[in-house]
Amino acid sequence: MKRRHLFYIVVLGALALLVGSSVEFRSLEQKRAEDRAQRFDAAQYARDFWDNRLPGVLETAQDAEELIGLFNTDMKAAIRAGRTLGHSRVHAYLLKGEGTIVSVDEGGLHVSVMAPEDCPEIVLCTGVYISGNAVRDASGLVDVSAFSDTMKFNKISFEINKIVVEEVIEPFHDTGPQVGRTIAFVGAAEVAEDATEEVPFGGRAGQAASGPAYHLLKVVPVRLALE
Amino acid sequence: MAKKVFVLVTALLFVTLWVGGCRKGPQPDASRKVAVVISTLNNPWFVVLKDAAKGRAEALGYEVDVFDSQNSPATEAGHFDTIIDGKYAAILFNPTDAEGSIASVRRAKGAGIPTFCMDREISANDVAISQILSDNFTGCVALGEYFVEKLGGKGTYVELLGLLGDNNTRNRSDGFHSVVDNHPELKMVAQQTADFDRTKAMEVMESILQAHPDIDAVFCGNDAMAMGAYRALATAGKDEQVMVFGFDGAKDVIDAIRAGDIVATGMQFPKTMAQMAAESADQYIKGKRDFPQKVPVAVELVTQENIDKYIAYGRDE
Repeated sequence: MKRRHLFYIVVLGALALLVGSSVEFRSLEQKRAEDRAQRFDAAQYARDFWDNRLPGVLETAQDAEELIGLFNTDMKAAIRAGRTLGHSRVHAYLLKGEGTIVSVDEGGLHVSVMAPEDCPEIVLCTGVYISGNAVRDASGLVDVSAFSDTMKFNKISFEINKIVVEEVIEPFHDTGPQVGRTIAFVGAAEVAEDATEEVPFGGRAGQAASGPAYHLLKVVPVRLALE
Repeated sequence: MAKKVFVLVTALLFVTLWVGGCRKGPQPDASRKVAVVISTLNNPWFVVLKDAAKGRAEALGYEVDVFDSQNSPATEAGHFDTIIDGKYAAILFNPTDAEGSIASVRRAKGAGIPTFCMDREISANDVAISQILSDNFTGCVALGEYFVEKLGGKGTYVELLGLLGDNNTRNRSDGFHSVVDNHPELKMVAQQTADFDRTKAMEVMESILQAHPDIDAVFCGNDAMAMGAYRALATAGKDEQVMVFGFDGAKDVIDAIRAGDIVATGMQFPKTMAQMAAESADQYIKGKRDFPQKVPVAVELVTQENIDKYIAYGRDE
């Protein structure tokens, strides 16, 4: 009897060892803590990006006048000067410049950075919302492969754009921009490879109710200063 | 007594072999077989994805087997069992579920078989070798901006969503709403899933029209649903009144945009994604190891104004 019991104990022990080594026990609270740590806070990420990481790359912004010249005359060179997310015909740029405010509409400030001063090439987007990925992608600071899913990556743009509206655009409206004034800016733009195939930036693109309509480079402002 | 000792020794031997077998490392790869696993072949867009992946892999010298997951994670998992047992050299994978498909890819990785995702992602960045994905969010930002422009910033609309387990569904809807929700005079009166399915979309649209007969537009998370919605609107005599927007760049919608029936879609590039996946797999098999985990492929807005630049599933180049 004793030997049979011993036999069963040894076999059961071996099975228990096998099962036990293939199963991990953790407390529910420990699991919940791990899940909380993994939850991604896009607003916090965007905040850190804006406060601590973006300022360091703004000095690499390219001159707006030179860049527009490339877009209008040598798009291949312009593409080389931009940043590209994955496989795309759209490229992102950080740019800076100074120009004259030619006109203002709900989309933003129409600014001339090149002669003649009454012909704008850029619209600084100062509307009620910003869409797209210009700031995120032009900065070169956010790696899509660092995120387990692209929803997190997309939320970053959404949160950065909110900061642009709340901290760049809205305060700027209080300074009362006026036609004819000089404005200095740093911003980000997304430009498609065929953007200037038919009309260059600054070229006439038809007629609006308020006057001639121009083909404008859309720039999301990161810094704005009236002079 | 001798019999009992024999049973004990046999049991311990079995246990040892079982444990040892479970811990074996990746097997040496001598296979020239590539598996193409597609979420469903019941949608022409995915048939194009499959054909492009298969064609490119065969052109690179591989024997290709196609597995249709029929939108079922369970069926998909079964395919991975077959692929692992069959010692395939690589998997070109279009997942059914961003979360649910992770385990299958992990098992393949454990068996030494590299996986390359196409079009859809899995929500992990440490199991697949590379994931070549449509940039759905950005594509739908552009679509949303055009939607606002066409509706003049006001009106009522319906949204038909795709499969809820697919991250693409969420990315497309989020991209669209990141623009449209900034226009308070644009009101969404209904939002329902039709699972990316044309027939289901037609049924859902018919049902919605009974409650909301006077909508101005419908945004559909893919072209199959756009065609289903359009069919329901046409049956109700409302196809002239309601603008339909899709997403994919499928042949029937490209033709419908050209005919003026559908307003716009987002052109994905299934052939580009599939070919990139096949080429990455080939490079991996030949020894390359540094691949970007996620490669977004841009989606382009196709409208009645620029339709001449596009054909079904791509650009007219």
